[in-house]
Amino acid sequence: MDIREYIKDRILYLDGGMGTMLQERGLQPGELPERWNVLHPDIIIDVHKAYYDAGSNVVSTNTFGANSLKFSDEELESYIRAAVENVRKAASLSEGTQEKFVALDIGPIGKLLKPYGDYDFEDAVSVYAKTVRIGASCGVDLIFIETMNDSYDTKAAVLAAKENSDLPVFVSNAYSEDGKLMTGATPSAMVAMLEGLGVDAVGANCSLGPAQLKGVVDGYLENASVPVLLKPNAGLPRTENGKTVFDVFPEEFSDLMAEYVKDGVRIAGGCCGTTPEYIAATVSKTRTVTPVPVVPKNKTVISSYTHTVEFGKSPILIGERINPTGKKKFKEALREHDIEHILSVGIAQQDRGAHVLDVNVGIPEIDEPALLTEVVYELQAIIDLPLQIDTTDVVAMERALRRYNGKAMINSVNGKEDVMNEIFPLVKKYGGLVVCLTLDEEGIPDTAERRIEIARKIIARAEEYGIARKDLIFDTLAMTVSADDKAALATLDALDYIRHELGCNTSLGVSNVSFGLPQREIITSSFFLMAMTRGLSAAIMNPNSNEMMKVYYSFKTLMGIDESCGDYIANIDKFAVSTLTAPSASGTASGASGASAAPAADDGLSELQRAIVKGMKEQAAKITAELLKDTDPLEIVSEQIIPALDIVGKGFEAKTMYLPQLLMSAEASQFAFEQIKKKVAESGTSGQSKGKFVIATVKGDIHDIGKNIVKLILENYGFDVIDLGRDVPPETVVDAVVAHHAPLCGLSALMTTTVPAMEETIKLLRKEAPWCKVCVGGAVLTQEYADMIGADFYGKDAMATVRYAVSAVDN
Amino acid sequence: MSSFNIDVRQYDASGLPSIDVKEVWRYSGCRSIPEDQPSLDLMDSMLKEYGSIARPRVCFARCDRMPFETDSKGLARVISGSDEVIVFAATVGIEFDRVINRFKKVAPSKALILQALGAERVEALCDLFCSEFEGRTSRYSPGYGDLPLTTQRDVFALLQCESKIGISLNESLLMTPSKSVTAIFGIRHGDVNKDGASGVRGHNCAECGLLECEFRDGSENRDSSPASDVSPNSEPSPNGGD
Repeated sequence: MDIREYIKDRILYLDGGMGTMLQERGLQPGELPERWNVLHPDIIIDVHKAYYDAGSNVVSTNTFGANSLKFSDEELESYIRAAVENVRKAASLSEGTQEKFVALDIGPIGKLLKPYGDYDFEDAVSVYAKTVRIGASCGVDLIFIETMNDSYDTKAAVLAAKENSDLPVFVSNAYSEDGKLMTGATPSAMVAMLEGLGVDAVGANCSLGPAQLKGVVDGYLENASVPVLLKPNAGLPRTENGKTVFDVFPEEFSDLMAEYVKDGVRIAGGCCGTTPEYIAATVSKTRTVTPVPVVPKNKTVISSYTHTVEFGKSPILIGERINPTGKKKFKEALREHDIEHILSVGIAQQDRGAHVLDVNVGIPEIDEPALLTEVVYELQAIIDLPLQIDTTDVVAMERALRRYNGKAMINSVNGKEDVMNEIFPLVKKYGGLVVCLTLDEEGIPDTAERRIEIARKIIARAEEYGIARKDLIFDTLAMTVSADDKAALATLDALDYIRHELGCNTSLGVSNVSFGLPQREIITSSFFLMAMTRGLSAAIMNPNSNEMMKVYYSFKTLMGIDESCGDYIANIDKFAVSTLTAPSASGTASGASGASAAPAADDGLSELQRAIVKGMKEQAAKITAELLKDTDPLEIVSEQIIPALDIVGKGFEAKTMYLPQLLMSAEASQFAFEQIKKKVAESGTSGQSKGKFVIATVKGDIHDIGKNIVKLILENYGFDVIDLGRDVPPETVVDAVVAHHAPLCGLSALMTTTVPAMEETIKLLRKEAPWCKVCVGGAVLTQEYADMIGADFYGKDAMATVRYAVSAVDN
Repeated sequence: MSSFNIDVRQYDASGLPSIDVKEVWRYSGCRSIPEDQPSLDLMDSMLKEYGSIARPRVCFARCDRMPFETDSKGLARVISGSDEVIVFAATVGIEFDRVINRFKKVAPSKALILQALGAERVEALCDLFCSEFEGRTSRYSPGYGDLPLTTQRDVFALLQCESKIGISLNESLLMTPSKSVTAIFGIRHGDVNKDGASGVRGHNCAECGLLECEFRDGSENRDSSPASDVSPNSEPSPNGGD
């Protein structure tokens, strides 16, 4: 019988601990348990048989660590084959009459994946794939991926299982006491991702005893639409006289398990410290329990690697700013591969309260699949919000979805047959909440009725692909009201119907509605409010707009979904001020705030200089903007900003100012520079660069705070810094120096173990780019060391490097 | 792989010894506490950030002898006469790295303070963990004194840090999460519980290889690069030229 059939109306029993059982039977410390499949099949069969005798339906192969990182291909093959054979034998030897299944057991490969670790996601998929292929060829009944403590690693294993077999896949994660995975995912986030990937059962094992897993189990039962499994430890392990002992015994364990089964757990077993006795007790106490039916939860959710965002309750804000449309600066950033700029746009939106970020990097002249994947990856390294992947390039969509850590929002599909045929298979494979635009081959219908018709068609086609209605979110297309008086009404009528009659969530890119009108934010935000009252679940919008945020917080408060008006009050400072500008600003006296270049107070500093020296960013920006009204930008730089930076630099060198203060000043001057750049761009003259400076943390080293400090201050001093990041191979440094013909290059290393990589980089630079001066820095370096590896300059701190760079280009 | 059982302890971030703000400033490269308002605001904002991101955890093995071989005389001296040896790894969790990396993009000064705070917190975690053992000696870390950093490989093989508490070691022997420490100490049964002559954290400047360290005992302010002092295997505070 197919195990998926079997669990439909029955409780399924798994086995208990393996490692602890083998240790009792003489497995030596350091010995790999998988070898015992071949060395001591009798013992292994014995343990397996004991579990079948105790009533387990599923016994897992002794292959927890069987992967190509630990074993050669031949070993791997022979251990897995033997492992499957051992379980089969145990099944036939056991006199238990229950239905018996063999699970291929897969544990984590023990590598932390990028961006945190240094192991590549696709490499992990390949390692898991090898194990899956061998196991599948042995004819196991299911794949059991267990004890996974990272969501990304879990995804790699599931993809490998799905791509290399048609077997049922059960996935079990190991939670910490705070109810999260090691890398932060909650049970609901795991459910969202794993159901999206199409696994057949989800749950938790190991780490904790049954009692401590209560919150985790509840999290699963509330969210999962597939059967929930639970395989706890026999309580918490502790060491007693050099032996590991557990504090929960079969009686208590099975009592707790019986409670969980009554609550809805459908698949029960044990992990570390549990024995056949635990399983037998659990079976006997739950045999007569009527299984709680597994019902679809119909929650519309997406997830990041930490949490879920649910649609259909409070409106969801999807930040629209990572998008080149109509944004000159952003387009330039894409062309120049300025990932930092893209990231800062993302961070700003999160700070403003966005729940989800839309990611669109489509401009004609770039390799969109590569860039989109990279941006998604980089965003996920620092921002824990779920992302909406926004592209019309199907290749880019697939690559980004594959690499995405969680369940993404997919933007978009529409009523065109060919588009549905391209997008729905991706949704099916990787999971996701897909935005459905109500247009088709005939374009965007004028009427609400036709848009609803298209929605029905999309729902039906999605169903054919096995995609549930809850994973569709409809965009009824906000059209420009200045072009058609009835445009907004058609959009809203269709939206209302789809939300309330078809029961699907809805989303709108609200900004379009006001195109061509003056003071667009007034119309856009009003439309946003109207749409929310008609049932809008999510808006793709600009979170930087105070007008939009006013409407959002007001709506929540007035609809009774903002408890005690808490969010409204807590965020009032963020949106209370109007972002609207008066229609004609000329002739007003707003510039008379008294900003001047003249010294004030008695420290001899101008206002701007004081703001920079004290590290006050907003002040610095404001004063600069004022000054720019009647002062030449370059004069502000040379007469005010640079002298202020010099004051700070000297203070730092004299140790009257410290590193945090140096940095805050640098940040403040950056704010001032932003204003100046804006002005210069308006007037069309280009800024002057002191020259190019390539900077990198060397291969093997991931420390970059110091490198970033140097970069920041170099930029303040007018250098055009090409930042290659961290862990940069020598060839990449050389390529950049050659491509830019950079006169200067800075290398950073913090570990003694990575200084050789620095030396190697310098050698290669000497050969390929002999014109380039190389400065080095980092905690382990000294002047002697720098001389030894052939650097031109040793920068003991950021200011030293900057002074050297200035003198090098001035000569 | 281990012949010893690995225990895991999880701590509540609020249960750690209180934050030594002066120490955080020091790790950020300040010899004294700045008094200006922007600096104080900066620190306040990072202290607020801390509570929600720390997930302190320790895994350790309690051994009746040194569980792996080492030639370190410094370590031998510290644990001499011990009845047991404890090898442990401590971390405040991966979220620190994420938030630090986030601040690096938008506010490097915040990144600087937060990484310093992480370094201070993981040391505080080590202090708390060690204080739970009667008769302990001071502690000694790979990469410190004459105990080579390559000892990290032995420690990781023994403790299975990846699966136990989520610390991984890369090829350059760097740990992720970066705010992690590994160390070794001894237990002398029946010893009155006091720490070694060089203090709880087991640092003795005379033994330390970081000759340029401005915090070195007896060396006055040689340059402006603060370097890691107590646990050279955790991420040291950066200096300007890192």
